[in-house]
Amino acid sequence: MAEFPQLHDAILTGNMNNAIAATKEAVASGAEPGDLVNNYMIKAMEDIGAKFEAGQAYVPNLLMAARAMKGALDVLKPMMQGSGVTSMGKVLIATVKGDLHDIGKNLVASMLEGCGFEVINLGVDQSDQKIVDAVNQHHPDILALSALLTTTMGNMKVVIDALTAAGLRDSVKIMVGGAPISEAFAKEIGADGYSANANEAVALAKSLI
Amino acid sequence: MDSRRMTMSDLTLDISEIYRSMGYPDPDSPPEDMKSIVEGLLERFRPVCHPRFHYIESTVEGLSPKGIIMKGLSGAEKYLLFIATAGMEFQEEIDRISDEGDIVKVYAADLIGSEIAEATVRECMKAIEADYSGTGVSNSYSPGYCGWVLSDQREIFSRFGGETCGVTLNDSCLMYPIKSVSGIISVGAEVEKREYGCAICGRKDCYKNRLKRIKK
Repeated sequence: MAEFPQLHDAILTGNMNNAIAATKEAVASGAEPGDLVNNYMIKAMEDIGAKFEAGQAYVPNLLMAARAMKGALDVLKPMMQGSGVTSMGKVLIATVKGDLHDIGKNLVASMLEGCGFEVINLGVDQSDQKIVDAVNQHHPDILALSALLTTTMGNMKVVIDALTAAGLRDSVKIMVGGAPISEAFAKEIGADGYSANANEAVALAKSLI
Repeated sequence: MDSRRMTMSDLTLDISEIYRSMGYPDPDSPPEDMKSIVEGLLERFRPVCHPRFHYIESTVEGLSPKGIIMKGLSGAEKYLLFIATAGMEFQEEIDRISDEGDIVKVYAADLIGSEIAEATVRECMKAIEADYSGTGVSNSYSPGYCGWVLSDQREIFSRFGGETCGVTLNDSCLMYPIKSVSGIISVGAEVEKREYGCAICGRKDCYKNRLKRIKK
């Protein structure tokens, strides 16, 4: 079986151009998209995540790897329809009402996408009603909520209560994150999980699926 | 009262703070490609950005800052309210960068915007310290932090008589352009500049403390 370490390395080092070129070469040599995604691309994202946890990589490294992963996935997408390559799960992500901070949320979204999740990014300053409507419409496996302000983190509970009132709470796992959020707060408001950074968010999402 | 429309060259940007926010321990540690992205974005913002600030004398009545903030304002003989912003021109440029779809550039541009806004606040503080020389000037404190409710933004903005540097509030009391700061400062003989923000925050899992946590 042919091997494509250059694809893994290009994503690990965040080199998008090399990742795209390596993907095209691999496809031209007859590689299966599913094999490339599962054995090289997701592996590279896991490896950069491990380096981040060890303090050997920084947030920009995660983003550059996710960007390279996205570039490589764009090459494969036309070949993946009907190929049996499925997503890890569907995640709806939003920053809660009263909060315009979106960089952390977008970083989590990029990492989740890079690791094989389908991500619907609702944006910032999202009311409980808008989030309930989106859960109803998209039927995500996971709802990821972000807040950066101590004054807006309480709106996460407002969203969870609204989902309960709408009879949707049991249909979706809820994970929360953001600078003022803690494990204890997540438990207190009835969320299913908390992550302190984008890399942990991927591991948490996998565990919730 | 003072109001100023500036250019980027009027600001003293702390580039190391941008890299620190990315998690790098010192300004020399980012790789060349990241430095190149930051420098390229700064070149892009430099000719177009017009950061602004405006401050007025006012009162704390009708506002509800709490605990740490009230302690920081203690000794006040006068209260000043301020609005500082990276400006609409910055907002328009970062919107264009977002449309280009490069998540690394958007991330770096966002952090640059935060530093431009903070540098604008520093210029505002310099102006206040010059205007009130010989007396104590507190740190600046903003709604949304340390339990100060964001809805007080409406009261703060109402006191500027429309002179808000082009900054507006949405239904959630959030400012637009996004890279804007509003808040309160006290002045008086007994006022001290107390430590605030990162200096007094013990949060171990904050991204700014990540490296310290890992080294332990």
